[in-house]
Amino acid sequence: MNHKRTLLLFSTVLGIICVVASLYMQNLYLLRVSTLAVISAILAVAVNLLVGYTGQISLGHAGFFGIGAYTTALLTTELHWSVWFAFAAAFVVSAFAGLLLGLPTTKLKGHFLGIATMGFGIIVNVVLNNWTELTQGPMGIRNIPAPELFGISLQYENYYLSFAVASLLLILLLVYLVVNSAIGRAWKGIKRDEITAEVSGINVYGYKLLAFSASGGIAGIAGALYASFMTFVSPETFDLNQSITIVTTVVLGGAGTLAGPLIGTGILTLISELLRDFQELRLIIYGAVLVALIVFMPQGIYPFLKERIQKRLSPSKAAINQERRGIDERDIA
Amino acid sequence: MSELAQTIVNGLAVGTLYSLIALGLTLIYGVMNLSNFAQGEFAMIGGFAALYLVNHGVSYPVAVILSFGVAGIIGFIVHLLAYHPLRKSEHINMMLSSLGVSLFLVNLAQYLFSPNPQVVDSPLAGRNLEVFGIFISQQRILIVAVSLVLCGLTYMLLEYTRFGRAVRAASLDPDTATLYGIPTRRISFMTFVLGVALTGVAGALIAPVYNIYPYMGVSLTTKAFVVVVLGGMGNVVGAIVGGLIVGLIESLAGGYISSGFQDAIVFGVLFLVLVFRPQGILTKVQGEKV
Amino acid sequence: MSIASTAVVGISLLAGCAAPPKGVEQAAAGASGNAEAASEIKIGLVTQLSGGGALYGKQMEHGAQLAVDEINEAGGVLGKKLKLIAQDDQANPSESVKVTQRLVTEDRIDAWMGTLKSSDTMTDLTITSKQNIPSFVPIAVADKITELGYSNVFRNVSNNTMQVKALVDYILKSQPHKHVAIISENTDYGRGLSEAFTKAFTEGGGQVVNTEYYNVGQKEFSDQLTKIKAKQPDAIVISGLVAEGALIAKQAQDIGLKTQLYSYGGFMGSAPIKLGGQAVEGLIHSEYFTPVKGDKKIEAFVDAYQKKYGEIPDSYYSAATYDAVYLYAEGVKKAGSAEGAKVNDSLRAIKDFAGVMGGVSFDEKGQASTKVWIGQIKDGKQEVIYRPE
Repeated sequence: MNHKRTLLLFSTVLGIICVVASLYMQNLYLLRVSTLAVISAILAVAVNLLVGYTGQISLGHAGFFGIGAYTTALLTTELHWSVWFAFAAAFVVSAFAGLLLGLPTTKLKGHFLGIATMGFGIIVNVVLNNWTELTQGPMGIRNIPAPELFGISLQYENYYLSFAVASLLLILLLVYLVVNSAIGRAWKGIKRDEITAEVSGINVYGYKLLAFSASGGIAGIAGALYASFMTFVSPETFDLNQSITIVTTVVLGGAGTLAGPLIGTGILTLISELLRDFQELRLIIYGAVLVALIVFMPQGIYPFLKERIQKRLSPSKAAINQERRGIDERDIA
Repeated sequence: MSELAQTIVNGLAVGTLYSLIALGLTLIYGVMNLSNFAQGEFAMIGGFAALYLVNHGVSYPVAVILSFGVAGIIGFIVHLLAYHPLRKSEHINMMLSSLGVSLFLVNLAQYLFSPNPQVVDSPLAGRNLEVFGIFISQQRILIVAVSLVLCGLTYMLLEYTRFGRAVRAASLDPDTATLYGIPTRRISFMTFVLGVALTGVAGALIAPVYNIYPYMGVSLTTKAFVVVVLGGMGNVVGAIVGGLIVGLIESLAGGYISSGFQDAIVFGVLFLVLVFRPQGILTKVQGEKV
Repeated sequence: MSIASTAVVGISLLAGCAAPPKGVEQAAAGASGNAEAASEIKIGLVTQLSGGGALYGKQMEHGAQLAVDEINEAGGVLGKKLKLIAQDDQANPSESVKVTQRLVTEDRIDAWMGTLKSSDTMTDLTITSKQNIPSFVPIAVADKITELGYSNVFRNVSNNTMQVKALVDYILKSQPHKHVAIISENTDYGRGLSEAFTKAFTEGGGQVVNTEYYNVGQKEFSDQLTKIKAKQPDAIVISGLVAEGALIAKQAQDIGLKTQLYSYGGFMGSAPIKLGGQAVEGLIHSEYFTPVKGDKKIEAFVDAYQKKYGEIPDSYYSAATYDAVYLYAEGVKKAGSAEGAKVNDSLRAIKDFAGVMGGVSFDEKGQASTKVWIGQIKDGKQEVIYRPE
């Protein structure tokens, strides 16, 4: 357990350094790329809760992202709420949406759940696009303000990045606490085998709803951050492609781990930027890379690397871990 | 009154198309437990194959038949590289892999053929039939006819041939089927190839109506999923009937409720089905094995 | 343990206050310093170079590049060579802004041009206006773009209202159609056109019997067309681009709907004929640019473009960026420097500049008043049927 504590301390300190360092970044382009990456990371963390820890699937998370973004946009531009309250509202509304989505879908599994969540995402996108009286439809909402902290507006890119990184840190911390608590254990139990969990006395239904709500809420916060950062939102950002990208990020990085979503986001952002000059081939390579990664490293990059490193450092421990994992995954025909 | 009749005819015509594509998807799901998110891309492949052939002097009907083969061959390669290696892995991985395949195929087509829509000339283009004030284009009549024939043939293949029985056995219980000496791996491949080849033909058929372009498959995939869920995953008759139902719902929703919210309504219906009868409207309830 | 970490995180947020008070505005200090020292004048172009809009985006790039090459061959501007840097925004607002920011910060462009979508253009302009970089909007037609209050925006193409007005005037004056139905794209482009059309047409005594909306990428229009058919309009106005428009025309024919079709700039060029075939015969639409014969400037442009790119510039996507580059060069020449503020002032003073799309004069909002023509597809070819004076 000492090992875990030092890791936690180390990560926290690293995080704080990132927050402070962001303030000193001056390159606008880099700031923009980084902020968008941080927002993607938060989305990945949200999906990871649902996919990685609770074993559900979500192909419609762009819907929560959009709900959070539009809630913030509408409250600040139409009702002139303070940005902080709008952020809080974004969390609540998206979490509620997560709850609503969870209610009818708890008994669905696998493909069905995937399609249902995909449907949710599409319905949200269609509503955002067509309910023009409320959302301005495809024309979007402009002039969304940035929050103010102790009198200083966070609209400047370096301040905003710092703010975003701090938010990410806070969220990670909370997720870490929850995942290592009884709630987290219940979720992992559900992921392993629902029926066993139910029989053991875990309220599967309740915990699933909790996972959906929490996941939706966090995605909503990402949406709020996005809206405030871009100062403009339009429905096209919140589509099926976005949902698929988020899930891909999580799976690539390693679902069910804390670092996985971060690593996934980092790698995909890097690939995206590196391939920018090969614009025509970029998405072809992206697709091929995706398939290759899934075929060769299906558990994700982080667990894969961890395993490799463990093998090098302490081969005996690695062997025990592998066998332990093997027993868990074997299907009993 | 004739407006309603026209809307119904429109819906059924589009529906047969959805049936054909969903048929491929449901076959693949049944045997491989794979939700192939790249299904629509094979329609795109079929369409482009037809374009290429017609532009090089092949007659349209022959091009349609050949597109079946082209889609099948490419399907074989895709299966080999992207799905077969994952057969023992978690289901979500094959689904994700299919997303990667979709991304790859769409952008490759865009790179090779440019993103502009292109036209495939069919000898039936621009001609329509009028019956009691209801119009339908001859190309669409062809689509309906071919779809129904192919669906019928596939059904008979599954019910009455040895191959068909092997496919059904493999979808029901792959492990037991292997014990009985059924070459499940080969069945897997062949079913996948058949599934995408059917979709390829669908693509070649709609090319003259919708014009083809690299992204055309994406919306077809999502529609096919709705049909398959409605009809029952793995249920062939369900796919056929489900396609017609979805086509009708879409048409009626677009005609009488709202064109903009069409997709939302279709997915709303999907939701209701998933909640109240997830096995599909036409499938009998099956308990879950513990 | 966790309380400690949370406290530390909280403190770090406070630390934000102690940071250099300078938000990353950097004002004009960064950009203008560049203008005098560099040996090149850089023009950044942001548009779709991949995906569905690449067809048009590439034309934009070609037109601009042609102008850049021509000007460089003639000696450049103020002794310096022009350089075009084109970036793909994938029709995505976050990407568009990211790329614009990159052009401004990394490539240090002196002028900006773009994009295909009005909404992305408006968001990008918030970035370029911070540095007062002369920004050209040669394609996007939403009225709002020149109403944003920026002093560095220049649009050398008619906006929506002007385009629609030209079409409405033409229909009311020269055509017998008084009851029309509109089928429109559900985007800012489509809705902008339909709303402007409905307003102007009803003011002029006409009637819009039905308005239907479709989504970009949609392929099946029979339901909406069936609804329209039931209302028996004299004509149908397609407020959208050619990918869907051609299908609408084809499917209208399929359900026996035989009325006059009208549309806008999306139906310029050879694409509608290729995609719509027989179904678009007789369609009338507004025009910004056609490679007509008889105008020396247009002929020279068409010949040069064909020689360089192997095809005729059949639409305004290339002509507009071509003109924009020339306009910028003119502005720089007159200002005697590439510095943003000076060029903006001299651009605004331009009167009757002769471009391939006609005479250009900017008003105080940066909107030019170019002529809108009316064209018709006859016998598989584009023909100009009305040219206002």
